[in-house]
Amino acid sequence: MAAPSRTASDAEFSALVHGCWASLYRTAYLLVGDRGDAEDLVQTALAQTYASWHRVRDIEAAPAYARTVLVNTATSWFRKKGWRKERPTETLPEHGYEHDPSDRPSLVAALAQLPTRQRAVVVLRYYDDLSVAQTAHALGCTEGTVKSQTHDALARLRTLLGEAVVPQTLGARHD
Amino acid sequence: MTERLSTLLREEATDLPIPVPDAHAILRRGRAVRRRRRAGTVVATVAATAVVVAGFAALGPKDSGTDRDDTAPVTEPRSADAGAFAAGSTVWPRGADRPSVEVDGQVKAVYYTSEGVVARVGNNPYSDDAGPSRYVAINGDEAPRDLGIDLGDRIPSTDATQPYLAYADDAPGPGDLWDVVVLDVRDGSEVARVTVDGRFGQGGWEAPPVSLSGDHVYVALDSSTADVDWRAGTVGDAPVLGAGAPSTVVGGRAVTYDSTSGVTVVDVQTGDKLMAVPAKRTPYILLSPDGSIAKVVYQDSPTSEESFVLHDLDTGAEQTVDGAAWDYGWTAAGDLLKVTAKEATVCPTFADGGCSAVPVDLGKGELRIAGMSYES
Repeated sequence: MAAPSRTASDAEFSALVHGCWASLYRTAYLLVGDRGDAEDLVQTALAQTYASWHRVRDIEAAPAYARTVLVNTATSWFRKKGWRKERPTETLPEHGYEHDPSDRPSLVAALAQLPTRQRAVVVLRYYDDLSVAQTAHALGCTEGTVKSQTHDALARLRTLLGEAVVPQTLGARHD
Repeated sequence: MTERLSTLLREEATDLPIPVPDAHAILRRGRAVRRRRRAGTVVATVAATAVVVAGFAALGPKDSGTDRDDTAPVTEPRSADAGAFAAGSTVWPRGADRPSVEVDGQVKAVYYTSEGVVARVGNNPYSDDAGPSRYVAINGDEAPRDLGIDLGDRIPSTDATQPYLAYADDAPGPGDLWDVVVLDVRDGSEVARVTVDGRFGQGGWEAPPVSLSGDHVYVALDSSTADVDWRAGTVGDAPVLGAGAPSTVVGGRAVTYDSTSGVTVVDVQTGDKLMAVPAKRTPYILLSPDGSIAKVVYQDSPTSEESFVLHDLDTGAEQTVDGAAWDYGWTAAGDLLKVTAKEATVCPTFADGGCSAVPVDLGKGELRIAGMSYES
């Protein structure tokens, strides 16, 4: 039987916010490469999740739902005219923490050089550790698209970051 | 191998200073989103649109609840989480496993509101006859209440989250004037009447079709769609909807058709495109009563009668459903509702769990599922 339409209680929703904020923020940061934008993106995604609470059905499913909304919202942002122009891709975003000087400084900048769908695929698969099927579900595309986007993204990252970070292989994890 | 890449991503993320979330601010923002989605609340840009008539608001809002406070609670659809439907003179306002109600006449259509359903009733179950079309409010186990109006072949509208019914009526005076009337279905009282100026001759209806979504009533005129803020009594234009075939606006969203760009689902107030399908696919799209889901039939597909697609307009997720789209209506909450002569079946959308069927005996009357259009 279908669960009844319902809204989240304030306590229920606050618990969700505090419970998944850090995880969503990290994913958002890797997607947009800017801390302020990442915070806004997570707030937007959680607000959209609240507004669509009757679709969530189960409090335990809420974080995954919010992450899907987050990725979808980020994709929508990327499509907006001027997004790329506003995002320098040759310089590093602001960082307030220490880096490993060997290769970490260029990672976020390298991600920013990927087309948006490829960036999302990389973040979801290699940071959030989603399978191809889960990534396809989150992005609303086919598994074949995820695989091809993964292949192209890794090739590009290999060029940007070097073989030491993304070695040449015949296949990718989760395939 | 990609272990090194994963490690670097995690290190990048782990070292990131995490700001403290402001749950209250997010909650407030979420309420604003929900309220805007359901109410299609006026945004500032709309204030710049031309007011096309000055002689409006002969009657101001009575139960205005004009609060647009983002923190105000929003009414959830109370009726029919199990789906409402009718056959002949029998109405099931809260699903097949709850008591049915008899009305005086044949049901032509059933509309969801936040206070039960409204049944359109006449001498036969068809919407295009010249006979009367009366409107009866049915809320749970209460006795049906006739709203005291006969709207003929006009197309009225409800909003599943509000206790109102809107329709257009001839307005006194010279020229092409129409009154947009909003009734409170709880007692049949008129809560707003706003005059709109615009020629209407398409479709052969007695008055322009309207669509109620929150504070707005959209009126399909020959050369444009008027955007009436019935609480404020102002009239503007809805450029996103344009002219031509009337659009049904639910949750502030509508389906628009263009022979060049195809079929799109848009946010009526902002113009944002929420999904688009190329015209060559000859899609047919219907929105759920809350505007959160699009039911899409790709009519160019040889299997268009065997399956259809649900598109979550918030997440972009899609779900393929076996069966003919025309057999499925909606519950007020946006689940699928299928009714046959023997049973009523609710299928959750974008959720685990299968469909749930409840036996029902429809009799010989024409089936009418709430939220579906039976206009000819």
